[in-house]
Amino acid sequence: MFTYQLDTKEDMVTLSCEGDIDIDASEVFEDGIQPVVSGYSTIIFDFEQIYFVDSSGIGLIIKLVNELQEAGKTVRIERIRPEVMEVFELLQIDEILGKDTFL
Amino acid sequence: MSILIVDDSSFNLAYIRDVLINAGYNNIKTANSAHEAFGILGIEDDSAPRRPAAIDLILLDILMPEMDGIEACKRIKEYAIYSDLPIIFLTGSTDLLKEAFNAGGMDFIERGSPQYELLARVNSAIRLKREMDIRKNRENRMHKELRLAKHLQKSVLSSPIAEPGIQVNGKYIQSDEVSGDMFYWTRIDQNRYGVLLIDVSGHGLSSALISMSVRSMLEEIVCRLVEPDLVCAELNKQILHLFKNSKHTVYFTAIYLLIDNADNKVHFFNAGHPPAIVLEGDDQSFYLKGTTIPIGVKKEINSTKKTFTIKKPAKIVLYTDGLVETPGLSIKKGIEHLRAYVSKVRSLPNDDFLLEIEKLAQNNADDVCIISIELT
Repeated sequence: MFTYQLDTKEDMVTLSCEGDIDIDASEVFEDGIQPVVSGYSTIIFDFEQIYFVDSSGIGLIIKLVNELQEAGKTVRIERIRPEVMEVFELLQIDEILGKDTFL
Repeated sequence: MSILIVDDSSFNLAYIRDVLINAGYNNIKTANSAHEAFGILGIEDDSAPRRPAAIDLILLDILMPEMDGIEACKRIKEYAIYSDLPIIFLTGSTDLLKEAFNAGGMDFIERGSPQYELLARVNSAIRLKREMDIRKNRENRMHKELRLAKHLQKSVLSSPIAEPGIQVNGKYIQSDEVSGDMFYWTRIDQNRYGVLLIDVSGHGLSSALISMSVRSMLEEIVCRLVEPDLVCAELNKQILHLFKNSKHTVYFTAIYLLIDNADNKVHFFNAGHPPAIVLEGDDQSFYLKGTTIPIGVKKEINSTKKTFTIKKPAKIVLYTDGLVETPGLSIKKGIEHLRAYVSKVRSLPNDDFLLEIEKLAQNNADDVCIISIELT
């Protein structure tokens, strides 16, 4: 189950994410997040409470971040747990989304 | 729809029968005792019939001589083929209702209830049964379809190679569903072999569709382009093109080895896949390092091939992440564990070696593909 909480500060919004990112997170990723972050220029995903991301979840993340970046927004994914980071590294997510996304 | 009424009173039988017939139910069977009912259901001698009798609802009197309705209901429900057959009890009092429901009854009708009540309860039981039948049929059909799909998917996998100097064996361990894991290999010329393993993102039907569409391109791409960098770039181009109208990200991880058995060189690309494990001689083991991004994510993909020289005798193990991944745990540790494990059983003949690795995939919910290449 994937959920998130919003915290906004001027033109920056932080999504504190929680749970697993897999096929069950599709609806939230595809329809839920874009509208609520559209008014902000910097979007931070806090992944401290994300324990598991599978290959479908990676697909959802790539698509969402790509779309936000194409809309001219700065996106960062922060505080990734080591076991999730390993999966990201295997798939070279930093290569796909840009190293800045993970600074 | 067919209704069986079981009652030791001929008067009651005739009454209910008439009410149902007047309401338009024309397929009514009657029985004067539990045993007679068992005969109609084909369970009178305790042996289970292969097919259930064509009965959609039983109206069952509770108080009957010899065997009462509650006991009869229990007996009927013991048969799996009748587990969904609705049974409504007919009763003069509500005293035994708890036992009746515990026995598997779905409803009850009190004697002397108005006709509309009897018909309403019968109607709703019949409607439920009909919907259940439809759902069950659909499930059966889907189950058969799935079995066929799994078979088809397995049937396109390459057969083992057993030639002087090289053996290639693969294992595809399927979960309950179809999935996107797939392997392919071919002999390219006198000394060269191409071996490819892919894992389409996601699970289930959609991954299987993608995997099969990739499969149909492989022969042409691998045999024409041969070199890892070219194969990688072409696969990436084809997938991006094929799924350009999809609103979902379609990608797969892949590892491709071009093995030259004459000069002992292995050229490869690894697109986001867990690293191949190489076992050389009696005690050497290492990973094939160097990866690029998965196939189908981005137009630009760094497809530069890597090359290493292999010292024979050697084994190379390719696998999908299902073998090393446990949610919430470190995949790196899973890979290290696999390396230590395969290292211990390296001296086995290639097919036994593979069987030994397969043991790691037991109790695994995910699909797993494993390839072992032995070079001697």
